[in-house]
Amino acid sequence: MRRVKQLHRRSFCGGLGVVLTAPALAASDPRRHLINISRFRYSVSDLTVRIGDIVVWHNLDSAPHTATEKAGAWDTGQIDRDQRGEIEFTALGHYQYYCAFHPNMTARLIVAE
Amino acid sequence: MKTTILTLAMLAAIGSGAARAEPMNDLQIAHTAYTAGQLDIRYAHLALAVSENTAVRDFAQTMIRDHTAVNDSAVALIQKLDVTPEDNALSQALVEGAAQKRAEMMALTGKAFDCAYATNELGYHQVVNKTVAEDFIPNVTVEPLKELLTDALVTFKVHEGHAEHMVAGLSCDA
Repeated sequence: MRRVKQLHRRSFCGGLGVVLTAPALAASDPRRHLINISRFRYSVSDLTVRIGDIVVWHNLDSAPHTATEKAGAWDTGQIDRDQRGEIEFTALGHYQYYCAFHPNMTARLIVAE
Repeated sequence: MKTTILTLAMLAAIGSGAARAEPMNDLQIAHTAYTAGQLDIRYAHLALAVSENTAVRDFAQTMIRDHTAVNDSAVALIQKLDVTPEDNALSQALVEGAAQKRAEMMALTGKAFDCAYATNELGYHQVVNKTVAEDFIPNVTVEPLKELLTDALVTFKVHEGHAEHMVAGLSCDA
């Protein structure tokens, strides 16, 4: 699994200590979000997740696909038929992504607190 | 270009049944669909060997990747069904037409090659897609093959749109 890190947040939280950060983590357990790729479309075109969540792309097409952030921040790499690619988001961000092989396939992903 | 138009017109006529007394059977359809994919992969390898245009090279790589995946699925299905695809007049016409077209394109370089490749890809996908949609899918009797062709047609239509965009971007008429 690939991971998108947010270095600024980590360095900031590091000074607060375990007592303050533990309840916050418990209140927002990481979730897995599934996006199917079928007929050259992402099943969810606009998704908001929280920091620490994992997004899973599952390719149902014969043709291989990717989920590739437009500015290069992250990339699942090639996902063949019936395979999955996943990324853990540990950084805040607003992302536009596309399939590197079929650029008309696009979607948006927001990582919020 | 004249050769391409003649070849594609001939293929369209054969594919639509105009030049056939009998409709193609499932094994012939499977053979032709696989052959069409393999020929497009060969065109793509030629494009990668000759073209320096990024859009053309990206398209060619996509053709290799996607048609290989579709044909791998076809091979898996053929093995599962334990049948042998059957060579036929349409497959032979496709092979012959593609050989002529490759010979034409190999004499070209630069923009002339890029435009020839892009225009041929557009025409090729238009004819193949029409044949798959109007003849192969309605006539095929084995359900898994029908599903495979239906799934493949989605991919091929995306290629047709991509080819249209590539032709426009190359400004071949200018």
